[in-house]
Amino acid sequence: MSKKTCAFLLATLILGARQLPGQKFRTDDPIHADDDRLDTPQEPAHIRLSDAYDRFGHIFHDFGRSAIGSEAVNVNTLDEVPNSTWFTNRHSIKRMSVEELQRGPNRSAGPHPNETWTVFKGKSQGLTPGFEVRDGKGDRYVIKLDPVDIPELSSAAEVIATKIFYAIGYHVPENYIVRYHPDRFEIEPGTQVEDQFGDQSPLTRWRFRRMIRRVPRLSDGSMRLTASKYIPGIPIGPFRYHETRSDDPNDIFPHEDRRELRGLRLIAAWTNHDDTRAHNTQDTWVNENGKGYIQHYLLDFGSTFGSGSVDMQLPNLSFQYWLDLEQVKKNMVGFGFVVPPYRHVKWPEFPEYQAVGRWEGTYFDPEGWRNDYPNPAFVRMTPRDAFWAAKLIMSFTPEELQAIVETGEYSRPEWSQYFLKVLIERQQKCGRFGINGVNPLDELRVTETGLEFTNLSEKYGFVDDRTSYRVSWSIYNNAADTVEAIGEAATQKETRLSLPTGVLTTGEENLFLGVDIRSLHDDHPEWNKPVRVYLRRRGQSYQVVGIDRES
Amino acid sequence: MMRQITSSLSPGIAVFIVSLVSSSAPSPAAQAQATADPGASAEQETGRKTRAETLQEMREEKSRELSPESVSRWEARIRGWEETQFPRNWLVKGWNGFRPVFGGMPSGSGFVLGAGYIHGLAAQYFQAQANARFSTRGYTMLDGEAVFPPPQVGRRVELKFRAQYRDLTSLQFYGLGNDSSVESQSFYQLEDTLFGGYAWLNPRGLLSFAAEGGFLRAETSSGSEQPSVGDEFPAVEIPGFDAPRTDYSVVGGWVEFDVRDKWEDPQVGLVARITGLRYDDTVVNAFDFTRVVADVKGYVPLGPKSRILALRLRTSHSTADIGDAVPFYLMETLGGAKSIRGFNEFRFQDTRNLLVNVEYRWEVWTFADFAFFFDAGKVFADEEDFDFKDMHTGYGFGIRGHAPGDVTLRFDFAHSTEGFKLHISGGPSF
Repeated sequence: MSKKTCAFLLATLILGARQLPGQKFRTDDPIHADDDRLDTPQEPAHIRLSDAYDRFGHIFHDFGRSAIGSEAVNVNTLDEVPNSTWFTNRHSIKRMSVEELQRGPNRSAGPHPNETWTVFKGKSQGLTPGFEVRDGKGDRYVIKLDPVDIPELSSAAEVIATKIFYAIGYHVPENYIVRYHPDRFEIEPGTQVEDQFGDQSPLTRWRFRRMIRRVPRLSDGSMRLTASKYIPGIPIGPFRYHETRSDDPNDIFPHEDRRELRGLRLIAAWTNHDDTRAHNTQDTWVNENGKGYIQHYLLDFGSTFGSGSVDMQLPNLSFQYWLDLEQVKKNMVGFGFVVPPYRHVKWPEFPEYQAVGRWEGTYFDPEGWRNDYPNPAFVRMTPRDAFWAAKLIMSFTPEELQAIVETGEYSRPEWSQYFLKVLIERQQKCGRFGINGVNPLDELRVTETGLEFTNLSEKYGFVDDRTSYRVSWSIYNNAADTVEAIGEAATQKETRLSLPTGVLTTGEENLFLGVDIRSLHDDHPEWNKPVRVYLRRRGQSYQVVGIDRES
Repeated sequence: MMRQITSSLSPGIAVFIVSLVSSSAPSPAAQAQATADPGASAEQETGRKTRAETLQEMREEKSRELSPESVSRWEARIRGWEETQFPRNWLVKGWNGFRPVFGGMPSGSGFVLGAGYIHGLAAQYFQAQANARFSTRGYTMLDGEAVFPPPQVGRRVELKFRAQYRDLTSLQFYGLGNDSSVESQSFYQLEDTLFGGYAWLNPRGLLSFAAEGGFLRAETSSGSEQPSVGDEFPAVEIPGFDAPRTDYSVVGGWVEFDVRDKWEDPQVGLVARITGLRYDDTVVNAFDFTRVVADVKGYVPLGPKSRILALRLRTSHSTADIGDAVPFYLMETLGGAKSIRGFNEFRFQDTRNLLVNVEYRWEVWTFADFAFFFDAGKVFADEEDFDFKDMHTGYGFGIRGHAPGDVTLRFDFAHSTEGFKLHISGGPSF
């Protein structure tokens, strides 16, 4: 048995251990942070993945080891994702202010447009050049340009997506929209530029001007560009959406079974981030106070919303995989009468809305949405994973989303308005899909009057308020993993339950109050699966310590 | 199995795993046994650990077994190809511009392979190339051209100069007229040299104009395969055969109206081109003629663009000056991968022709489509025969793969009164 398998077995049930006699709850449950910063003193290997191998490998083979339908393994006893080097709960736990949402990951004002930027690396592949600069403070940035004939398309998408993914909890780079005059650029001596064939040649000032001559100029002669700051630490290559790194002691949960990577599927669907693959991630080895560890980032949000980074998003992508074998089979025998779904879509008017790109919400289907090619974590997303993601998606109010969209700095208000309208449409669809997929009870809290909960589907208006609840109390023995019913089950409309009195006394640390709550709604028979809530006695009160939610 | 799994782990973690994978609700008897079991104390000990402690322990366990992260041998190899941009760099850029070339000869030449040199692939203003090609039928072609600006740069004017020498040693000839017999297949050799060029104003615009001109030298003789044209047909019936080497000055131009949605694999729209060319025989003064060609291609989506009806109507009329003739080797032909696919290449030949192609294409993948097609065409000498009577027809099924840059690989399986044909070719059918 390989070490990876051992690690896998260890990891499989640890955080969300459900079946361990006497072990279901530990004294520190529920944990809200998983300190995965065990010292990694040696710099890990720098890996480089093959684009073709990754693409075709995932199309024809599932690299994930766990069974499709199995649940995520890195959740805590509340079925939530603890903070880690992969994910930090932000907006959904502690609401960020509008200013914080707009600032996102940015820790400064970005490279100053009045300073000289020194180009130290360049590429001239295709019509959209790219280069890297060092600003006046010595910070390094990757400079990205919009498609030459569609100003604002990818820069707005990149920045808006960065803010959303950051607020949700992913680790992302600092991305800035900057207006910079091309005459201010300096070329560092010895800088090479790579052409479309990979050949290097010296980057001269004349050549650099030729590279950027097609980039649209604003009225003051400056160019609008995106400056993406180098992320902290030493880059060691991307993370895969499957397995674990063999040289990272902290990486004990198979990536395809991480909740934040599975749930990313629904968030990617919302933002149309079809390019969610290993190549658009980055691991860095961070050395902090003499202690090393690996931090995990999502990168490159240029292919989000209606943008395809170097052009508008292709119409077929996000409705089917790049090579969607199932769709190909249907098309082959369909003689043209099986119409691929994307062919029905009505896009916004072009060229009027080119800056927004192929971005729409009417035909969007969260369940049918596809990223570029199969992703082992995405194909394993269960209703519980989707529920988790949907809660995060729905945590943004329209006003907050509007504030985030403003950071895209569209030059025409109708573009921002249209963008926001679609973003909200898609948010609602994703929320409905994820929240209605399971018994949607959440926000469980013990108050002075009892145990209160929220029906998220009703809260967000996905159903009417005709839900009633079938409640049955029990005592859970954490040492013996046994359940003893208390009284009869009762049905009620209220979302507040009175706690049974006199059942548990202080000092019985292995006994927990348990309550099964089934939601009864004519339109959603699947909500009849119970949410079981565990309450631990804390002095004179109780603490919600665990939630079992059936998919 | 479990012993194997846990053999390398610390006792506490091992007990933890055993507990995880054991039954979830132990019976009272099992619980009693567990109490008596010496391992139970270890289990209880594990149970008292906090979640954080257990996770820490797992990580420490893994830290003792670390190995360098790597990619598989295959992935590393493919990554290496990607970094060298193999085979793209070999085929497109080559070695310092020297590269292999494929195709580029007339249909029916067989497999064509050659070598060439290209300059200016990354240039903004100018691209030039020179190639030598050889085919499995024994054909030779040497060519060179210069384009201003290069194809990757969209401009309002395109200038192209071309020089080529061809030695096509066994071209097929079945006789003139619409009733020629497949049994009359014969061969001839055509050796020609061309220097020419064009200036195209507003290429790929809605309405574009071009002027072209050049010099053509042509000579025919018996081919390398038998029977030769001279064996099958009286030389006097075949204008231009066995004539001395002939030089032509060629001038003309075209007008094009283009409302296609895109130039590569269009799905809706229409493109119509009318071409006029004047050939003046400057040596024997026997083959002066004028050619007018009308070519209309339409693409009609049948509902969504995933299925389209592609239509083409093409007609060519070559009119010799009084007392002159159109040489047979400059007559256009029907048959083959780009006209009536159920017939051989060059199957029908005369001074005028009419061709109709209908294709029902449907999308199978972004980069591939299938098609049913129907072709009909005729050749004729008298303009009074310019009608849709006596058309030769064929039909079939096609599979097409598309790559960026208007690269198409096409497999067409066709049938006609002369049997089944398979055409494997590059480029769109129309």
